[in-house]
Amino acid sequence: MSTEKAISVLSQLLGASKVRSDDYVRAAYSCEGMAAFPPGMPDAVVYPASTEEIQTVVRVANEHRVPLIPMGGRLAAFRMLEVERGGILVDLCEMNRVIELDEQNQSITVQAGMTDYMVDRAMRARGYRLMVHPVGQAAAICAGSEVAKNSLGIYGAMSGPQDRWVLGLKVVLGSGEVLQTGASRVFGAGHFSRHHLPDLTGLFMASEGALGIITEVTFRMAKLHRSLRFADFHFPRNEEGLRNLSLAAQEVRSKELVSQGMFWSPPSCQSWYERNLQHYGTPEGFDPRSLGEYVYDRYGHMFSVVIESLYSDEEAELKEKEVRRICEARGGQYLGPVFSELLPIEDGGYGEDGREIHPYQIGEFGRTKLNWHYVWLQGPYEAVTEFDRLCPPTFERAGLAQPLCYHAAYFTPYAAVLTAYVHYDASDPGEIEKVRRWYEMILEECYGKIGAVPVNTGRAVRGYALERADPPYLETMRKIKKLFDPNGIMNPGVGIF
Amino acid sequence: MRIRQEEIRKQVYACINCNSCTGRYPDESCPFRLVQRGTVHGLRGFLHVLKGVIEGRIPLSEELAAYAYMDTFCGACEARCIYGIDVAEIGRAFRMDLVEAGLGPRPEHVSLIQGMKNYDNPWGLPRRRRKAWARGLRVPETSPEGGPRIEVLYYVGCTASSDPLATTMAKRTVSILNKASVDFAVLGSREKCCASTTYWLGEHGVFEQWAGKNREILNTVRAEIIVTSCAGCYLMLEKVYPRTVGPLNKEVLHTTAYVERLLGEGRIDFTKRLDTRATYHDPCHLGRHGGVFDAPRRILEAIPGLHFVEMFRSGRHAWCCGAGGGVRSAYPENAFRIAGERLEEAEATGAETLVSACPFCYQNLSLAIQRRASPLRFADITELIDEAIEDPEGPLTSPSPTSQGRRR
Repeated sequence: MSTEKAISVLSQLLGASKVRSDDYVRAAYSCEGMAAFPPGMPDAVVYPASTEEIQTVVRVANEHRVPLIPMGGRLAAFRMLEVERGGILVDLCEMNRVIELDEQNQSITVQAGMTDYMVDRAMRARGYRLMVHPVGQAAAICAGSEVAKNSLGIYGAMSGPQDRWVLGLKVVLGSGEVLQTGASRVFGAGHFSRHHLPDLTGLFMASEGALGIITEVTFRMAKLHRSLRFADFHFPRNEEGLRNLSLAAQEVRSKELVSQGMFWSPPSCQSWYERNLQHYGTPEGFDPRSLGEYVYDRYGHMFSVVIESLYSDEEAELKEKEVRRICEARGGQYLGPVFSELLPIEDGGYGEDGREIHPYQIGEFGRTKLNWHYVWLQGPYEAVTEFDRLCPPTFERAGLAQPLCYHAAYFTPYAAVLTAYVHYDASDPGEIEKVRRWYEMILEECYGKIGAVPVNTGRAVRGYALERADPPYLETMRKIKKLFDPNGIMNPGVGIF
Repeated sequence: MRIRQEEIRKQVYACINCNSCTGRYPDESCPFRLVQRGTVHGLRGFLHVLKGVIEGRIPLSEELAAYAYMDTFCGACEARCIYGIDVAEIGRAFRMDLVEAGLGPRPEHVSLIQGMKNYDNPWGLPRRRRKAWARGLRVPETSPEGGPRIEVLYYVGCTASSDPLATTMAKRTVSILNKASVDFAVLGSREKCCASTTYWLGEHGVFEQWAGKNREILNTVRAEIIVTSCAGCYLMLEKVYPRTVGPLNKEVLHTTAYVERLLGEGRIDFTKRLDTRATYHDPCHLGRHGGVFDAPRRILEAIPGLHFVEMFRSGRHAWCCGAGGGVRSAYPENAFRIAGERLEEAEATGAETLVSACPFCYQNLSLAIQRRASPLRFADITELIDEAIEDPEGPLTSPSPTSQGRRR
């Protein structure tokens, strides 16, 4: 491996401004989604602007056997972009154009470096939206990353994983060849269908950059809603209450009555309530010091829903009545829109002044300048109850204090996304150790044990994946990796590869 | 190192990598985007670089210093940051470390520091010529011995005192004060730099010395209010002095806020029509850092005949002019590119007049208008205010011909 030589050749071929190896540039790329993971600096960063330039990068990397790590918004949460053994980071930020918006087939084709927010904006101008919805924090994630991670992060989870919405791809494989997938790209048909032959697109979903570099993505567009309604329900704060909440969530989801459904544990409610206090002022006679207790007693288990109609207010109202009937039949108490109306939904999840509205960041935690660490798992709806039982003891065992730790669940159309968060001082190495310990603990407890698996693998849960996955599956994937990336230069050490 | 001190370090490590500070908005307002690519531009990348320094992964070096001094400290990323990380304070602390290590400021800044030491201003303007801009105008001076109490001390600032373009601001301000019959005076040759330049360049020792001296002088003047037409001076006197060298013993107002007050008290009135379509560029020091957004807009909207249009990126998310943080001195081409993007945005509104309220913005945007042969005319807000107030004795000054762009 001759990284220096590869950098020098790339500088000549692409121009020095597109190949940077200055210390400060490398340092700027030393951290991905979460600060508690160890930093790793790339040897260089390249900024290709086209599929052809990416082919050049891949060819040179193959010649010199240099690892390539493709990246979009650099928000990966599972050490997916960590530079373990040196290598060149391929930043796709220059590839940020819409290639085609096809209303007839309700699809949009964009370059892989375009952020979700920008894709969403392009669609909204025509009455559509990207089904990473609401965009929320995922607004910084790029189209290529949506595929490479089969994204299922925080609010993006509301529409389910991305694989339902991706119709085709253009990829520069690790071998340097350009591969097109999807019915339209292969046969010149419209973008109405992803495949009528075996589905190559699916192979790249959650491939984490280990097979090639995605350069273009075609998404299915979804119609923008005409009417929105919000509602919150309180369920008794006991195991039975949460079980009923999950069953209600399952029913309203299966009947396609809600576009979002979320369970809040009491500490999560607390941070929402703080936000309410900031916006609307403290109610008379209310002592903010009793906040935790107040929220705990008043709200117990919260189920927040957002109801949409593509057609009319009347339809949204009818849907809300049915949601209310289902929740109340299971012991839920209708509270009206308490927290749900603050869910970031309009304009892709941005407030009036352009700031992202996010419950965990605006409020006490933002003011304390604490960093955060989190885990995202996906599992069946019934796993929510078990997750609620398992989570709090892990915080305690790791020495992390509530209410800076909390958990929640997002009910996607097909599964629940189980999330747990801890807030901590990232400038304190002792705190980082606690956080790392907690992370291992929660994964050990939950991965594959309550029917749940992590949303991604990266390097953070690689060990668990290799240990717990079916051997023939692993063997087949390794053969595919060898076929697409014969020299093993694409993001080595990521996922199961 | 200052960046290792707890209050700075905590902020550096608070970044959750959400990327709010960079390219997710159509109205992205980080001018560093034109200078650096990808994650390197914006607050997130900068904080990772600092972590690299704090943890000893990268050494302090010439290339790092060059990078650190490319930042205009406009604060656009801070306005986007959901944690409100104070990038200006962190960046300044880092520059202070670079100065201590002998790597900062940049060679192009040395003359500014020398100017401060030799002439009390960064532009090397001799003290006796500090009030040369006022020749032929009625501009009283405060007495070093104290003298009678006055209503307003007009703090002119170095740039408006010396730059042939920006002196218009000073002339127009005194014209407004005279029309309103305000009992005012200036410090004349006793006026010292507010030390803003040294503050942002990380020359903390020089800053403390000059800001301290300045505060002493200002506190001895028997005036009710200090008014300044310079956004940088306003920021220093009103926001920075209280947390560094100590607060002033009188109210500090930017001209725009003071003019609003005069309008409210009925001491001036806009009676002349100015038939123009105008847009307003928020100076970073006045807007994001100083918190003054509304006064200039309310003034423009109150001028008869003036049709005010807002640029897409305005207020808290305004695009920077490119001049601040020492960038115009060290990296003039970067400053020009950043200003160029602002002009495009202003032109897109269909405005004829680009208005601002800061001498640095004045310099940089006017120059960019000339270089790009833009159809825009640049005007400091004091020019429009002055023109809109009827004066039976006729105008005291004429608009500076150099500030005119090619009219549509």
